[in-house]
Amino acid sequence: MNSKEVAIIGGGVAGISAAVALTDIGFMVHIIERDVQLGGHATSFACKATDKCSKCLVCVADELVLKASQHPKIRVLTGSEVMSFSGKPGDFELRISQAGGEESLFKESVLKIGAIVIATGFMPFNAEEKKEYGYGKYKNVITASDFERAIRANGAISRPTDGSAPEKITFFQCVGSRDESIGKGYCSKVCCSYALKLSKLVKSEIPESDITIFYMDVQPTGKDFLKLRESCEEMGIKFVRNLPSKIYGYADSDFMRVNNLNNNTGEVVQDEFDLIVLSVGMSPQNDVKFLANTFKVDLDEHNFFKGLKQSTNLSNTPGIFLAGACQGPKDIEESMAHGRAAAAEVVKMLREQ
Amino acid sequence: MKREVSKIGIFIYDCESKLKNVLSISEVCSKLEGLGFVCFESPASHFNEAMSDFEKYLKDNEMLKVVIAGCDSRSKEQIFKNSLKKVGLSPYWVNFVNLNEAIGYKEKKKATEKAINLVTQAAKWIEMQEIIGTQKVLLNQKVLVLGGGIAGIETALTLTEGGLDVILIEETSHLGGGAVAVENLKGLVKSKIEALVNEKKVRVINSSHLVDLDGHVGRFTARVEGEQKLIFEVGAVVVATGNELILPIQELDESSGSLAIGQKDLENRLSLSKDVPQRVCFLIDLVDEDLKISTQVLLKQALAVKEKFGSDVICLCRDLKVSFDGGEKLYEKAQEAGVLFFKYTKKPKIAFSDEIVKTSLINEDYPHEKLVFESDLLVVNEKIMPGRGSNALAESLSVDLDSKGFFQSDNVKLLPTFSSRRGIFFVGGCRLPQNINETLSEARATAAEIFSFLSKEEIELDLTSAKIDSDKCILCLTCIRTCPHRAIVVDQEEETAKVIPLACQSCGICVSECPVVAIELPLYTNAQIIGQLNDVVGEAG
Ligand SMILES: Cc1cc2nc3c(=O)[nH]c(=O)nc-3n(C[C@H](O)[C@H](O)[C@H](O)COP(=O)(O)OP(=O)(O)OC[C@H]3O[C@@H](n4cnc5c(N)ncnc54)[C@H](O)[C@@H]3O)c2cc1C
Ligand code: SF4
Ligand code: SF4
Ligand code: SF4
Ligand code: SF4
Repeated sequence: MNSKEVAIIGGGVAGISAAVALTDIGFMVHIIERDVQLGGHATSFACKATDKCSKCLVCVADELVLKASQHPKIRVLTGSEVMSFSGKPGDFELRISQAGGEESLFKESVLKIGAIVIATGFMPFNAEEKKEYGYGKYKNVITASDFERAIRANGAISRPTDGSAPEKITFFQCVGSRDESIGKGYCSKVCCSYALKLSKLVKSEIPESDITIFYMDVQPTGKDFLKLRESCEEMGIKFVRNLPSKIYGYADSDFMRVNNLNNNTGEVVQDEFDLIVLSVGMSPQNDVKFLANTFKVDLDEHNFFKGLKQSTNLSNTPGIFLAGACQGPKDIEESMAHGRAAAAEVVKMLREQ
Repeated sequence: MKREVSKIGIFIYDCESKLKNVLSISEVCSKLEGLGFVCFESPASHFNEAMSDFEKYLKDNEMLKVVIAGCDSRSKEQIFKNSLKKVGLSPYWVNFVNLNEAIGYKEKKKATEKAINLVTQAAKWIEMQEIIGTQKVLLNQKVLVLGGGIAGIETALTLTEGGLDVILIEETSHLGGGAVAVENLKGLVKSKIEALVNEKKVRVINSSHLVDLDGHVGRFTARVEGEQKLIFEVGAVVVATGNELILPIQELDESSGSLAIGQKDLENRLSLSKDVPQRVCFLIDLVDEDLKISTQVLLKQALAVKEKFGSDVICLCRDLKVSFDGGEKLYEKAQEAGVLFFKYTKKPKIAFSDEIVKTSLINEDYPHEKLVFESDLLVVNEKIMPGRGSNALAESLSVDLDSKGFFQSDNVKLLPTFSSRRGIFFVGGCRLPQNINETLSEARATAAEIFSFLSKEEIELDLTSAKIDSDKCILCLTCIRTCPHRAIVVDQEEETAKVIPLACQSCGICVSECPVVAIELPLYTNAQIIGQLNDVVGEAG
């Protein structure tokens, strides 16, 4: 009987939170992480503090990674993936393959565990699918993930064409979300919040910059959201409720043109920007179908893992639990809480055994 | 206790050869050896190699305490501490020195002197430091849950799964809270209530409330009053007292009468299958525009009214806050059913006359166009207010409320339901109004947090808490008032203030407040304060 051991698939903030909570309760945990390191997306994002911490929680991911990699009861298996699985709740066998070893081949192993937590997270929407925005074609059109990574790596904000500070910046909201035409009929929950925080960061780093946010609706998160939005407006960041349908590039310029509606006059106006950030949403992981098949768990209509009504941590298969953004878009705070909540569900199931 | 200088080890490491170029590490070492310490200089240029040197060094030398000096050693504290634990040394008997600051000097001699200074200081400090003891503390494995709404019920149920006993206090005569009146939640709430009353580990006490809470995490004493007066000993307390809804009358017109109702009133009408008129206008975000729950209710109700009564339905809002599971789909469905949506930035005008409500606003898509809607019923979102008893409850718990009067969480980086007092948690709408999935998940997460802590009868606690010198204390009570975590009490017998180790979070506030310098924090050594100052200076410069 190995019900005191649990396998967690995916070592992002949700997976690690579940792992830590489980070890606190006395479990031994294996984290199966496909990447070479733990932490998931959040560890590639930027700290969004201006003069004050913006509570974006990105730094918490780094702390969690340190905690997990040091933890005597957490076994971290990086570079590893699930191959197959069998057994019944409380008594599963999970076959995994791990990269590495001397010949840098894959080595296979079998874990005997009582429960499985799927915490495989999300993929940022692939902006190339929105051809009209010219991502990949125009260098100064970047995604928010690109932007986050660049700020984290360089510590400075620059436009890709020549590395100089951008003058006119805009954020396009809802790229790859709330768009049934591309099968993304859901709101990604996080992009309004990160775009507002990023725009504040840009404005405080480059005070003379001119920033516009094109949006449909602003989604509030947490207690201090109104203050955040008001502080953006006070800093002179413009909010325009209208999503431009196309980006027009020029042959030899750092700038690009977009058409939009002036909310006061109702006229169509042309505007130019030298940095366009696409606030990409959260799409399902690329291998969800494989995992869904392997574990016989249902996906929802948008290919996120489907949680049950009484608890979104429960899948339709007993013994297989869900945590974090793999079950649907969530920010870091919610993903961490969801991870811990999954730990509680694991305890409950194994007690009932 | 024996104090031997020779049992204090100094470990100096370099990273990316940053130090070697600017100062002489061997000179630092020989100077400290001269003072009687055992010094070791790691030749490694990478942190990982330095770590294996360190572990070997610990094994080869018999040591009691260690000083670790290097680049940015503070951020690597945890890793070093773990190695200390592995060889059986106290992870608290270590002092870290950040040599980055010495690098600031241009001359090698000056830099070396500075480094010698820093390390010597740290070594002397740790020499004086006493061993941090541990204390066995008995824990009470019961949890008090205040409030029998869905958040309280889910927390209680989950706690029992972790093996804990629960006492659930409900102010009214029945369980379920606000969600029992909600058509699509009724079933779920009922099944959870049933599970709760059938659970032997839970004792539900209706028509009662908490009057007083004493003690600290692991050992609280709660006085509860209702039909009976009861006293409970519990290890943790969960506040799940929910919130209240108030019709934003001041935003409407005095003459609105029954023409304007709240979302909750409509919910009641719908669940009682009462008639709804032919033209209905929903207007939300006049208040609480930063809460997405009003949009969720709006979409659900607009669709229900449209489908059941075939009414003309118009929805006015600032933003469609569809950032909840299934939100966008619900919005699409409502649109397909023929519900009309308009967004506003400027507040719409509302006029009531002859049983008709007129709502007018500027069309954002065509700014010159003024839209006027006539309807027979106006539905607005209520303002969500903290529960009436929140103030009194916060006072008896000695916890904080936020500017709106909701319970204030203390550490979002850990778990948003943490309060400023260890062992007290805020779950559900009393902290932040959220939807059912978010609330349930938060409740389970909190329960997991509690049973990870209370699942043992006894814990061994490192005494890293503040210490009060009873000879010096003049009982001015300053520290008791200023401790944000309510960790200091009066010891009547000894006539001194006393720190409760379990409750103390070693924040150091009392240390600086005591007028007679009677309080000390074992871990917050001067050297560490200097180290931190150096970091700050280093970052600024
Ligand atoms: C551009 C952008 C900016 C954001 N900024 C913020 C912000 O400022 N604040 C905030 O709160 N949130 C932000 N978010 C959201 C945040 O990224 C998520 O909340 C968080 O990363 C979700 O954590 P997770 O653990 O569920 O998933 P992930 O972070 O996606 O982690 C999943 C992990 O599972 C691994 N994995 C996947 N599949 C497998 C498999 N088959 N086998 C093994 N391992 C696998 C992955 O390698 C990864 O390590 C942002 C999102 C985007 C797109
Ligand atoms: S990463 Fe985010 S939460 Fe952390 S310090 Fe920076 S702004 Fe604050
Ligand atoms: S969070 Fe904002 S930007 Fe992201 S999908 Fe939702 S509405 Fe669009
Ligand atoms: S150190 Fe902080 S928590 Fe501890 S007693 Fe002093 S003020 Fe209270
Ligand atoms: S502040 Fe100092 S003197 Fe006053 S009660 Fe506390 S310990 Fe005693």
